[in-house]
Parts: sequence; structure tokens; C-alpha cells
Amino acid sequence: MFPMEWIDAFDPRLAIRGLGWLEENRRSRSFRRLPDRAADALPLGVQHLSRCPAGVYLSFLTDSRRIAVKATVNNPEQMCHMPRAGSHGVELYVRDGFRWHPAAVAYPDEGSTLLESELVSALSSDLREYRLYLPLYRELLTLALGIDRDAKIRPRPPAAGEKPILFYGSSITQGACAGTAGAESTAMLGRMLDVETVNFGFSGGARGEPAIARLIAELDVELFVLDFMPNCPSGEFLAERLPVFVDILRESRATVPIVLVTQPNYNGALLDREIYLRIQNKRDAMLHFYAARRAAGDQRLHLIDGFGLSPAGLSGQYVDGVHPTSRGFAVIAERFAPQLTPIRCAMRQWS
Amino acid sequence: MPSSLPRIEEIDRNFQTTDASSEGLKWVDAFDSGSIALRGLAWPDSNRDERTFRRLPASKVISSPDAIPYAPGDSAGVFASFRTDSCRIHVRVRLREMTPHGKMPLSGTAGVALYFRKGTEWLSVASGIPVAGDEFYERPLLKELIPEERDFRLYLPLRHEVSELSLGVDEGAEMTPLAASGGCKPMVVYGSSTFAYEYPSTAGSDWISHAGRLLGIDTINFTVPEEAERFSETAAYAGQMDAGLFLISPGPSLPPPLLAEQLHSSIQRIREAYPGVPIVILSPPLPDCRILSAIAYDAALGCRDTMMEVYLRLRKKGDRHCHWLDGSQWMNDGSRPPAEYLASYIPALRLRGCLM
Repeated sequence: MFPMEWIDAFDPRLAIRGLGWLEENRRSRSFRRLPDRAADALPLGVQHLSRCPAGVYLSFLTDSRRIAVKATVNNPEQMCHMPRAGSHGVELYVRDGFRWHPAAVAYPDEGSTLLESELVSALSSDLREYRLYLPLYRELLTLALGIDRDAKIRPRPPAAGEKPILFYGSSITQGACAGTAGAESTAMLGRMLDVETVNFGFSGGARGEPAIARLIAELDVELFVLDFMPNCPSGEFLAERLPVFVDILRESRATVPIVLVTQPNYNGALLDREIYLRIQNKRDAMLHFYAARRAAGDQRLHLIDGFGLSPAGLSGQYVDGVHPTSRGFAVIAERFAPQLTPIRCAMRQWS
Repeated sequence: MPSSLPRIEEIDRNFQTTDASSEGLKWVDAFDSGSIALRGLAWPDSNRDERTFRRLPASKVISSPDAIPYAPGDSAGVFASFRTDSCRIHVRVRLREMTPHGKMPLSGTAGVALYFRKGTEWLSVASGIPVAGDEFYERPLLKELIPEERDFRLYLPLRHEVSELSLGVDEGAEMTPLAASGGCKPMVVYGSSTFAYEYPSTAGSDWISHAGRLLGIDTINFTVPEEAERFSETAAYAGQMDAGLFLISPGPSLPPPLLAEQLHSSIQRIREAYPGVPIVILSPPLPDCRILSAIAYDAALGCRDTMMEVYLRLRKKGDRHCHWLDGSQWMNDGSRPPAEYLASYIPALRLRGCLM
């Protein structure tokens, strides 16, 4: 077997997508989703989780007959709800015409932080486009891609004028509990809509803090999707946080569409009245806010109902009644995409 | 930035193990046949006698050179079926031992999942998930229910052996076992576990259980891991099961000549025992690597075509109760499970009076 060439993830022959502050990442050689300079203003949980590169991917074209990966994650500990393939692993997708197909998965052995695997081999030497999605719930310390020494490789350039869609939300946004790294809904939507997505999902920590809003407002994006209702403890809490959050975004991004997403109805709400009422209470708070702002003239504020995105009770949809499985994420993405498309089309007509 | 990443349970309360008082609950053993029916077992009486949830109880292991070397100790597809008006439902589970799995979370390998019936639909309503390393767990599944009678199914772990299982319900609540579904004998699925119960994230969401709920029939998951897959030997067990339908679902790894030989001989064995029972051959999905590898694609298609040939040969010989379904359009990432596919096909058999 011929030796491989190992290419560091920050090599310019690879594009890193899904990060908001890529130049800062390049300087610190980290895959952290939020910049270190903002750490002090953020809740501890968000600081921790921002180190997990959920939704981040390498984008490249190569004619290599083999593709391999070497990586180190920070922590070998297994999560109860999520397989290592999703929390610690990487997943390779290949483009075929307009469709993306999952091609291979690699993850560390039990108890290990090291990952080294030949992802695909014996390919024909056609130039193909790939995405390598990074771990959803572990910090990535090193990452290198292996290809044949004589193979060509280059980054996939963004389309002219392309801006990412930013998702801010809870563990569901971050990707709990997808079975593989590319099977969470923001990554799926990125592939379905052929757009870069930035995943700002922070398990348990997405509570609409003004500090996060100020950070997010720095980014030049196509639209903001705010899906943080699940982490808000009550409707009253949401009613207090949401207006401030949206106002901060509007101060610097007056014309960027903002999509509010209501919380999905968890399985427990089917029979447990307390859960049902808590979700209803928060949902009503968001609906009131949306209606008031629309009435006040913000026509670029939109609403997607989470009840329709992720119906409660479907078999195989949730791991624990709250966090979707890969199949659950696929259902969410398939229902989300057609609702985002008219918003994006309308925005292009305005601009 | 902080230096080490804490456990997710410390950051997100949704991942925390929930505790709730079990005061005022009565604990009902899963083998209490006056309160709970165990379904998904081929030999429930033997399981009851041995107090085991193994799909292959010890007394049924065939001691012959033909016997499969692997005895399924896990409880894939097994569920406790009951009706209760309790306002709370808790569960206690003891596992024989706990082992990790790279592609499946503990919620699927070692956890339990509760479904309830709403009209003709079974809805997933709660899960009980252990903590890594804990072979015993007790979890509240439901609380504050309106006290009315409901039908429930509690699915058992897909990849671990359960040694004890009991359900906690309110002291004064009624609890009765549910009768078998559908008024017909169960559908027995045997073949490779690869696509049957190695990927789902929760108990009860494997495609065999899902198909059973969609079709309203009981199912018995007798698939075994790929390394132990020898159809003709598994068929020795299948020939002892009182099934309404056999569904044979082999994995993609056997070379076509061996697959043809084993598939044919296993069907012959079932036919000897049950001449008129429908047998459905379901070819495996095409693997992900087919996208890039012509070799993998050809191998997968070879497997499918071999199964089709076996089917055609049997039909030609006059076996009118043998059927073939193309599983190649079913994706193994869970996006297009075969449950819906079967749900559109099996009723046709039932309506034609084929399902026994």
C-alpha cells in the first residue's frame, strides 16, 4: 500500500465550514464555536459546550482513491444517550449530483481518545466533493485528513454571495442524540438547502443571554434561527429574554430575517399534564411576542411551529422522549426545509 | 476557557437521571402472569419456568452439531404488555452485565421504552436509561396521569440480558395482562441482527417491533449477530416456533453460493414442519459504502439477486407460500426502515388469508 499524505485540518487545501469566527479559530488552532475573548461573559455550560465542534465540517474536493482520518478528542467517556459514533466520531459525506450521501463513520475505541481510520478505499480516481463532519459532543484537539500522495485536493469555494444560516438553540440544535456526526438537523438542512449552517446549539445552556445575542450579532449571516425555548424554564422567563435578544440582533442586523421556533412537544406531554402545561406556557409566550412584533411592523420576523416539526410519540423519533434520534432529526429537517425556503426566497427579492 | 469538559449531566438537566419517590407504589414482577403478559418470546412458558428474559431459554437450546453456537441472551423485541389505571409507572431493571457499544447508546442497548395505545396507534411515551456501569436501575417513567385504564408496552433492552424486571404502580391500581395482538399467531423474524437491532437508539424502535405495532400483530425477533449467522441451524429453532408467518432477513456478508445453499436448506426445514405457513424472504439493504465502491455495490446486489433466485426456484417448484421482498431500497441509517414497507405488504397476505 502506498503511503498517505496527511493534511492538517487548518491547511488551506481544506475549507473549514460552520464556524463563526474562522480567522480567530485559525490563530488559536481550535475548533471552538465561540471565541475565547467572549468566555468571561458566557455561562459556564456554554463555555464548555462551545468547545465541541457540533455542525462544523471540512469541505473539500479530491480525486484520492483513499481517504483516511486521524484525530484526538479530549475525553473518552461514553454518554448514556448517544453512541460514540455521534458524540466522539466523524462522518464523511460525498456529493452525487444534488444529493449528499453518508459514506463512512469513524470513532475512537472504548476508553480511547484517539481516532485513526481509513474511511474509504478502492475508489475510482474521479474528482468528488466531500464533507467531513466533526464530533458533536467532544472537543477536537487534533485533526488530519489522509489522502493518496499523488492525489489532488482543494477546498470547495463558497458560492458568490453565500452567507450561512445560523441556528441558536438547545441540545436538540447541538445534535443530541444523533447517531452520527452529520445526522443532526442543522447539518442535514445545510445539505438539503446547499447552504453553510452554523450550529450554536448548547445543551441546557441556551437561555437567550444578551451576551450571546451580542456575539451572534457580529456575524454576517443569511438568517437567524432562534430555537432556544426548550432551555427556558418558563413562559415568563422566555417573555423576558426573547424581546431583549431580538432587539440586540435588530440593532446591528435590521434586515436579516429572524425565525423563531417553538418547542417540540415531548413524548412525556402526551400523558403528563405538568409537562404539557409547561410547554404550552412557553409556546404561548413566544406566540404573543411574535404576534406583537409582527403587528408592530417587523415583517422579517418569522415563526415555525415546533409541534409540527417533531410530533410526539412517533416510534424511533426520540432517545428519551426529548432528544431526537438520527431518524427524528431527519423528520425535523424534512419538515423544516420547506418552511425556510420561502423565507430565503422572499429575502432575496427584497435585497 | 475552562480546561476540562464536565459530564453532560452536570451541564444539561435534560440528561440527568430523574429521581422520584416510589412511596405508595406496589412492585409487580414481570413474571406475575396475573398482571403482566410477556410478548416477543417464542417459548414464554419456558421463560417463565426459568425466570429468564433470554430469547432462547436454556431448556430450548438444541444439543446437536447443528445447534447455533450463539444463544441470544438479550431481550431484543421482548415486551411486557399490560393494562393499568395507575397514575404513576416506575420500572426496576437488573442487567446481567453491562457492555459498551460504539454505534448504539445505552438507551438502546440497556434501556427500556414505554409505549401506550391511543386508538389503533402505539405511541412512545417514556424511556428508562441506565447510567454507564450501573447494572441496576430504577426510573420513574410516568407520573401525574389522569386515572383511567390504558394499554402499555414496556420494551426490554436490545443488547443486554435482563435478570430482573418489575413495574411499580400505585398501591390501589388495577393491572391486568393484555391478550395477544391481532388474533393471529406471531410473525417470527430470523436472520441477521445487523439491521434488526444493532442500530436503534431505544428499545422498541427496532424495525421488527415497529412493524409489529403498525400491523397490530405480535412479533418474535430471533435474529442473531452476523458472526453466528447460519441459517440452516437457526431454522432448527424456527421449526419449533408456532408462527403465523416467517420472515427471513439475512445479512449482506455471506458469499452468494453459501447464502443460496443456507437459505434454501433453512426454508426446507421450515417447510417440513409447517407446510402452509407463509415465508417472506427480505433482502438486506444496500450498504452506505455502495455509494463509492463498485465492489461493495456488486456484492450487495449479488446477495439480493441470490435471494431472488432462491425464491424463484421455490415458486417454480410449487411453493405458493413463499414470498420475496426487495430490501435494497431500505436505508440502514434508519431513514427508511422496512417497517412501513412491510406494513403495506403484510396486510395483503392477511387479507388473502395467508397469515395463519
